[in-house]
Amino acid sequence: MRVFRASIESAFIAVILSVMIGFVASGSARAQANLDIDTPAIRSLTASMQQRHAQLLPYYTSGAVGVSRDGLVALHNANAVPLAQRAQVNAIIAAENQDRLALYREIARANGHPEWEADIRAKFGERWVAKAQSGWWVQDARGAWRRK
Amino acid sequence: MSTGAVTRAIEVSIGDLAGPTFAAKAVRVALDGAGLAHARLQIGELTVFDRRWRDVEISCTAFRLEPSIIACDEGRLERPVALPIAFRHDASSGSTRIAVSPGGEERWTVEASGSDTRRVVVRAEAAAAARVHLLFPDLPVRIGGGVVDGTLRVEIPDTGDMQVDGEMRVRAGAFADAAGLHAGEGIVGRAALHAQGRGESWRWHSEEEWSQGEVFWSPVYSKAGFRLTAEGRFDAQTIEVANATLSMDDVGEIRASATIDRQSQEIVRASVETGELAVTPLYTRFLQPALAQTALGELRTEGRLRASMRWQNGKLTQAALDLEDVSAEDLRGRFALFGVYASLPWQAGGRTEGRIGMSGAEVQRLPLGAVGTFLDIRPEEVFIDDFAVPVLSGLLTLNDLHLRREADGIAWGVRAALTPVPLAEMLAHFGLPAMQGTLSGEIPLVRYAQSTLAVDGALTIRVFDGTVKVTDLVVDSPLGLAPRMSADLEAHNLDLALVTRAYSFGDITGRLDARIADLVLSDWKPVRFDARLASSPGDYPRRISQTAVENISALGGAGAAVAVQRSVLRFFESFGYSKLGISCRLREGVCRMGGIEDTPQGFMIVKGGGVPAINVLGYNRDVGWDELLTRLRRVIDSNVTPTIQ
Repeated sequence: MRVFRASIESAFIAVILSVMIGFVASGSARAQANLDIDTPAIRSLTASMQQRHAQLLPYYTSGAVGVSRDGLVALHNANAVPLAQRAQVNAIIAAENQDRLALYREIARANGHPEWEADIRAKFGERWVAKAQSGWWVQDARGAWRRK
Repeated sequence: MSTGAVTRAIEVSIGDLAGPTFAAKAVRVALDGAGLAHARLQIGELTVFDRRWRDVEISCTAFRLEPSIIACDEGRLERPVALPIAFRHDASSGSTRIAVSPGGEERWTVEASGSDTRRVVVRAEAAAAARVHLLFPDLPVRIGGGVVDGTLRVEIPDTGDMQVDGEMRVRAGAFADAAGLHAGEGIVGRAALHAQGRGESWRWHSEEEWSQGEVFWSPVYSKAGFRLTAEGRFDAQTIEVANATLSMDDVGEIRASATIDRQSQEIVRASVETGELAVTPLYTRFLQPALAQTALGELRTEGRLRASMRWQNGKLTQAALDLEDVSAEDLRGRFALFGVYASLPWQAGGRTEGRIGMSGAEVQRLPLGAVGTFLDIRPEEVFIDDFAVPVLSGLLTLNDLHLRREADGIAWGVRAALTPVPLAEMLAHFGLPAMQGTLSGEIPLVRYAQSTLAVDGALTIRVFDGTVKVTDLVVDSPLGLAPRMSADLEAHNLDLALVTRAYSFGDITGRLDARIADLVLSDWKPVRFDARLASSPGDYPRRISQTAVENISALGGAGAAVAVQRSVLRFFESFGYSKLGISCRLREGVCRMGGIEDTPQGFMIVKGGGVPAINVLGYNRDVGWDELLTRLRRVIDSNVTPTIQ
């Protein structure tokens, strides 16, 4: 986790860190596992997500994109975006979700427990929703959208 | 009503009325006022084109009821919506005219005339497009704006076919669904329809043009510039579309036809066939927005393609794709394909022969030469004839290339061999320092399935006058965002002089064996391995230069090198050695180092032999991997002198 310390002020990274810590602490059996989670792939994924975060931010704010409950982002209201940009918003969402899925998989794999992927994704899902800024759209447990 | 005047009132119950496109139930007319000029028409239930309204009411202040004329020139629809309305019925000629003026310039008129052949003309002038929701309340999108001018003429003869002719123009059209996934703005277009028939049996042709505006129909965004013409027929059993032609301004034409069974809703047969389509606008208009943020998001494209597909009884039976002189070049220089041509026919129940080739390609700016081969295409798999790709002055031969469609994607396998390529030539292309020797090798069998690439057997690379063997090579999601590779590497008898010269490390004469076991790369960077590099056994000259000694020492931090420089040994340019070796066990970013043997203070990296002899010792057992790489880079960059802190 050394690599994260330098940029810890970023709320974005804070989410990733808190999930990792939370996850490690959540079960004693898992806490005993040797969590080697600082892999180059995680580094490049988080860097790519961080870079994209600037592109996503205005869409979160306008409500075009929301934080879905399954650890991903989703189109919430495309009407908030000019027509010509909507395909691109879709592409940004797809790319972000690819990164996120790869991240959950890589964290599980790096822990030597690929079967943890679903749990890790669920934990991330909760944290992304909890850390969403007020005014953003988030999905509740039943899948309904609400404004934070 | 003023008192004193003669007051009469009549109320008539007409009952039910019906026409070809409408039905009115429980119609009542009430007349009162002076000269019975004030009328109120009530319709219990009015049906027009399957759309039903209850309790419709029209009031009329200047009602005329004469032997042959019923007229209401200034009427008003009171319910279900309030609208000015006028109507006139001439019983002698059998003509009826209804005009509705909802406001502004908007005006709707319906005229019916004729007796043997009834003619109905519906005209809309400056009509609000949103009124379509009155007729079709369940449309998947809301019409948010748009002005429509149009005419619909229907001729209904006593015997023979009905004729329907419609023409309409839309301007400033806009629509959207709640999520914004299907929306259009600023739409200008026109549509014309002619249909002829009776009962369930009709022939029709239509022509549409979309000339301005933009539409997003997820996931595709497009600007205007389309024309569609189509004709066909339908009856109780089937809907037939023949000769549908879609023309796109700068892309080309697509032709389609289909026969659909109305009962089962199944495609009896259908075909789609493109004319010659231009790849550039196809890519920039339709593909690029959706491919943004992927490796294919920034391409310069050119060329032409043709595609066709045929269905029979709901199943795809034939498909074909032809490419002509297609190029795709990544603007970031990661890859490029030039002059690609292909003829790829496919049949559901048989084998076809295809061909594919290109005039050249680039991978990370490394040029690849012209390629061409034939394909044996079967319903679920493709066998590709052996072919060779020129790589600089060498040749990469690909044998037994074979692709198969599986439930979770495409699986493929290939064998390959590379004839010798001078290393200097290849490295120069990547901007790396020149290196003597050649690169050649054999790849026994590469398999790709379920996003995992695996090499069966040993991948052999001949380099530095020795061999490198890679076994158990597996790459998980090689093109994904978190590629993970594992392998075992073994190198034999590498010429150390060539290796050290290549990396400007300082000359070492001798031979090197290396073994890197349990290698794991994450995102192409090592995260785990057990590496051991050591001089090969055998009889050969062994010399190590002063520079190399200093560099090796520098890798271990400070210490030994300083000692060398301070001692009398600094006057010698090179030394003899009997053995050298270094090991690194990488775990969690830390390299646990070792040498050929342990010493009380650390470990021995170079054991002297001959005259003058020198021992190089390492003291730091644990070195951070990143730190080690930094030192190595510094040593190589500084070329001769290591920085000693």
